[in-house]
Amino acid sequence: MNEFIQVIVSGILIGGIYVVVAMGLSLMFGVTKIINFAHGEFLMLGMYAAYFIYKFLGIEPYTAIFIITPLFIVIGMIIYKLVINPIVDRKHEIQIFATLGLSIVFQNMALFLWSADFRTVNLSYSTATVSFGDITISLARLIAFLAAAVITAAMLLLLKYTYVGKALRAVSQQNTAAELMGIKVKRIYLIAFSIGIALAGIAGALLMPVFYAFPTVGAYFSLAAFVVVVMGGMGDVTGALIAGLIIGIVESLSGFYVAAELKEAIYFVLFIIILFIKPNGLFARKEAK
Amino acid sequence: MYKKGLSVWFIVILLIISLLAVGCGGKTEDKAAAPEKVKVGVILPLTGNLAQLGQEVNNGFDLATEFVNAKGGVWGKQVELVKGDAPDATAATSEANRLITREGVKVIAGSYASAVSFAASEVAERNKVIYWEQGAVADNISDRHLQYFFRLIYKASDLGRASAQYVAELAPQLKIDPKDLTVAIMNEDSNYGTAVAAGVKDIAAKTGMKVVVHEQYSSKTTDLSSVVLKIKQAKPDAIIATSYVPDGILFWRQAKENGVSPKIMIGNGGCHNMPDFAAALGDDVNGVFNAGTSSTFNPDGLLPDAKALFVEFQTKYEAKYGRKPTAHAAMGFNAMYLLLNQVLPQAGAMDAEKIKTAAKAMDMPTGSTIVGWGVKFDADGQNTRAFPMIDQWQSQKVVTIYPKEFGLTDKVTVPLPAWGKRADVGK
Repeated sequence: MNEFIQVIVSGILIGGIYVVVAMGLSLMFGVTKIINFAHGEFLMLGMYAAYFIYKFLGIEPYTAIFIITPLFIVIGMIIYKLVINPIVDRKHEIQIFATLGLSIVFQNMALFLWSADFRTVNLSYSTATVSFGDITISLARLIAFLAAAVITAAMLLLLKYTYVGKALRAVSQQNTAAELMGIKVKRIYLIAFSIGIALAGIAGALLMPVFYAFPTVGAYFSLAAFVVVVMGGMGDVTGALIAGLIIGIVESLSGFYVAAELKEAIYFVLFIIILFIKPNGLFARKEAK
Repeated sequence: MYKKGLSVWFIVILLIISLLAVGCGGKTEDKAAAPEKVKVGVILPLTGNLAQLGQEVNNGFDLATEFVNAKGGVWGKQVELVKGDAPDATAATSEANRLITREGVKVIAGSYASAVSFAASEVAERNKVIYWEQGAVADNISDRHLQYFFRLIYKASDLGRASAQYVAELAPQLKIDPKDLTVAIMNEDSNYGTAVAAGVKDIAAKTGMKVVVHEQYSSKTTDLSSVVLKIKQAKPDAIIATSYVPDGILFWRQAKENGVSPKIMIGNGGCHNMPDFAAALGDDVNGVFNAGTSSTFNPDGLLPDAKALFVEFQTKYEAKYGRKPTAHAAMGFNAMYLLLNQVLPQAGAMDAEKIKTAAKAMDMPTGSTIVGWGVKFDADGQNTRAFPMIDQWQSQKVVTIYPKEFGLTDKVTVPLPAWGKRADVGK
């Protein structure tokens, strides 16, 4: 019984990490309808940012979030102006070319500037654990999970109670109608994109104590993040949270009780089954036509 | 159209940057009015997931070429490496085709990554071009009985055999009969990991060691807690692991979190002799064994010429790249140096048949290369005189301990001390 609880706990923790990574992607997609294939690379940049801030300024990754968040909002705005704005109303394939191109540029830029070495920060809490009886919980993963919960709550509050949040929701439901109501749609796109990039940066900082930065690290997480976003209902924040946890738990259970080499395959099978039953994801919203 | 203008500028800047980057990498490709050069093809993963070790090998290739060119080159001509970047098997095929048809090379050196080597050597074989492999270990590469393929490194299954054999030899020091020793095998599930695991199982069957758990996983995973938990439950005396760097670090951090504490832990190259592994684990890396090629063994075990070259390689490498060479850099250097300094001069001309004859005729005893190996190819082009050495991490450094003549110290710490108490390993 103990190992079953331990497996579930591990699953929830890795699920929390997926949620953090997927949250920004989900918001961007929900509002701008652009699939950001470079999201993993922004995560990678966030990890490198946390690494270099720790190395040169001695600021630990969790504190570094307060530097990374504004920094990535600015980066997000610049990228939006340069790359996303010109393609936001274009066809999907053009958008895919642009964001995929962006991802290749960032990967190779990182390889060129920082080489392919695996960068880690070794902190006292990198492998620290909290124990409840026989159940051990990695402290850094627990923090990442709690951060996922806080970020989700913050996003929900933002979307529900602020003007910007209401505008974000309005644009994601029907951008033409939103524009007619006097919402500056392009500005809302900019805000959504920048917040999404900042969330990727925060995810990078949260991951740094347990994981390692290298130029193609984004791909390790972005695949799971895409599954979370689609399964959660394409742009639904609560949906992303639940989908992330489901995938984490399924992965962990199948890794332990079936076979570790099949755990990714099993959550993809589950994903396909769910898409068969609910083609728009678990929490699909009705879009205003 | 102010905004459009901005993005155009952005693209222009990107183009300029990429041109500059190409310019930096392409210095050797300056063909204008240059004297005739000896062209040797190189296929390595220089970008992508496999780039880190690919770059190490590339450094070794470059340095060996500099050594040979400084001494007058091959047949009185300077050597030029024509490089193809192959992050995966598809790129390997197209780059091999490009090197052969467009650049006209007759010999290609590669590739370290087994999947890349497998694909590129197939193209070389069809075009009757020599494929000179320095470090790809998957068994199936040489099992194809290719005619133009030569591999200097041992097979992955032999690596697994060596590490398992060493574990069996350590058993008496733990006061355990090898027949009662319990072993966990853990490996990433590509060609490399599965072949090593097969070798380990082979020796386990011969020595009677009990394999209590065998876990395989994808090296691109983000969580290994299920593997860690299974190993923790099985409580093995020894863990024999085959991992790349990211999954290796992940496993050991999660093993520490869960308090997995084997008496012996041995890795099989990949992650377990890399500086990044030590950087991630700190003092907890001490006491971990690794079976694989070593670049930091005792050169007194080498023949005099090889020893001199070993010392020269170590100093020049550190001067050029600002850090000590890893095993992959040393294997890259070794392969390119043997090719340019022995095989090509012996062949006398850039002709695949002549190069093949020269390579087949090689007969160098153990201890005659800078990685300790001898050279003698069998009918499949597999070097029969390559062998892995065993290292132990001590004071966060790789210290070679076996075979004895290449060992730097007699002080080997077993069993593995508890987590957090490993600073004194080897002292």
